[in-house]
Amino acid sequence: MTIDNRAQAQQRSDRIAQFRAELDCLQREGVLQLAANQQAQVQGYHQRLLGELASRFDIDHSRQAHQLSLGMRIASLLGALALAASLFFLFYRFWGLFGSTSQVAILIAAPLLGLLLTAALQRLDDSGYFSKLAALLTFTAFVLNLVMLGQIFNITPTDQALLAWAALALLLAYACELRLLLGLGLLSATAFCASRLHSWDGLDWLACIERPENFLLPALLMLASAELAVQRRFAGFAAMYRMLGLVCLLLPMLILGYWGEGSYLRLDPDLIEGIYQLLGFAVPALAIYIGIRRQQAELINGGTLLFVIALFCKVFDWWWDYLPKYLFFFLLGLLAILVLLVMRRLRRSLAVEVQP
Amino acid sequence: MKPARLLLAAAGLIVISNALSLAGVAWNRSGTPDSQLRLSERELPFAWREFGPQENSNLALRLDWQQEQRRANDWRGPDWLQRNALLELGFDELPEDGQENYARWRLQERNALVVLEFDGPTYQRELARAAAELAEARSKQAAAERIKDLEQQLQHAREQDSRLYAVAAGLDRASLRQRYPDRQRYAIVPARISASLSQQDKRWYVRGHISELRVGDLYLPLASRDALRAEYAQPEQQRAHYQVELAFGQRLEPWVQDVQLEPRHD
Repeated sequence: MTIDNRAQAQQRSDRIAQFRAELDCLQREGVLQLAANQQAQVQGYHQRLLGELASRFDIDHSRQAHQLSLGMRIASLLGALALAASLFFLFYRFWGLFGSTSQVAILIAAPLLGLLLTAALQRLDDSGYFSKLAALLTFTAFVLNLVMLGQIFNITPTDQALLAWAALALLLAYACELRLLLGLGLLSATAFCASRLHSWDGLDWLACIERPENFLLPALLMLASAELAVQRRFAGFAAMYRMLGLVCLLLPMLILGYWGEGSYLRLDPDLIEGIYQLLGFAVPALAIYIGIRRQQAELINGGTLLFVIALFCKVFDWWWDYLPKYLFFFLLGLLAILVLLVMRRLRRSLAVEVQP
Repeated sequence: MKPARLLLAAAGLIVISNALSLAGVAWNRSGTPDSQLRLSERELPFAWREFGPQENSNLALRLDWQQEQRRANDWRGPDWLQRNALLELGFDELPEDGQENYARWRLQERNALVVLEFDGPTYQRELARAAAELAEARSKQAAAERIKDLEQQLQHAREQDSRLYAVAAGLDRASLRQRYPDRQRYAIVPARISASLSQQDKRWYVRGHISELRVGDLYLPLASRDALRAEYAQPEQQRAHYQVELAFGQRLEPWVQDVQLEPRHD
């Protein structure tokens, strides 16, 4: 089995620890006794493998180390956000004291220096926390770069900036295995696609949100990209593609289910709303089904959440005006229990499938 | 691809994005500007400073413009943004004017060009309208409070309000310039235009709005910024008047060429 990223290495390391604990238990209870040479063989193999994994990836060897690295991840995220905010306010604080040439030089130099810092930290720091932090700062500096360049020279706002931000965020995300930047990159790319589709025949790109269907194509592209082989090398990347793809696919359907005028379809708005309400149930159900078949938790969770939201919206639409409030919420509670029962049935059928 | 190569590609992206932006700026400012207006603090007051002066050291001006009212409480907006004009701007599926029932229709917001007129016939008409309204109120012996309001409106129109008026919209820059050839009085600027329904006498009518002129806050050259910073610190009534040379370039993007403070008359 090839191990391409830190998450896979961590999973293998965890499995070895569990195997050792279980073997120890079986030997103590007399269920299984390995010969000394067999035990030495297994132990030697595991030692070598763990050593190799530790040299290639920054993995945790114990539960305490795992908890500490979770804390480091949270500290790194908060630190990155705080430093990004600090950079933002630093620009504003001293901005007015420079001439245009100095301003332009500072704006261009900031993300380039950020990149240099990211590259240097990648070499020095195996854990990757510091290089990820620097990558996020680089992205913030680049966003500021284009926004403030636009302000200094009064450049008419254009959606091309979204494309540049998306490209940089994705490059940095893949260079540093950073899911937060992957998410930001995908959102920027989605906004760019939606604005391009919207401005196709002279409509204003900033108003792309007024036609929720603009987001369906980028959503499908994201879902398709999750299947690319390259995503397997990066822990959690495919899941991020699927999660954002699902949200960008289902939220427009949810909105159009109650706002037919927002559609490109030249049909009666009531009919459009009916079509999207049906899709608002069918697509999450399909996502849950595919998620179960392929064991993709993000599809199951995202599909369930959006299915329940669609269901509650419909229930509100049907009954809020006609039922006393206690009865309305009682029915809502009953529906939640019904969803629970369906999910439990699914869970049991899965349990039967995995039994020998 | 290796991380080092990805980071190298990222550096290339940053350099190319900046080069393209700056090339666009150079192109906009090359040759003779599309229009050059000499405006004052009436049309270019200080812009709002995000996060307050303590946190934001920059100083910018904002373009203040108006639309002709034609008459008080005019609900239909200017003639040049009625239904037919909106159809020419590319709006489609607009309901017919005068329908009794509210039509479900699709909102649209489109890009267009708007012509701004500085201190021209539209401003003179607005002054005349305000003066006529005051004269009519006086002749009809309206309430003292109403007369006082109208006097104040006229005084503001003469001394304080912006003299920059949106007077036309279109999609073709050349034909707009042909209709308004005076480049010292008429500037063409990109804008977002939207259409909405208004009700009058239980009937629905389509009317257009300029949602936004695509002209952000105007940044000042460092020397002008320093000169105006002292004025910004003064209470509004005590600030000196100033004149701003504003140019609109090949891409219709504006920039401040010069700022001149007028001597105080304390």
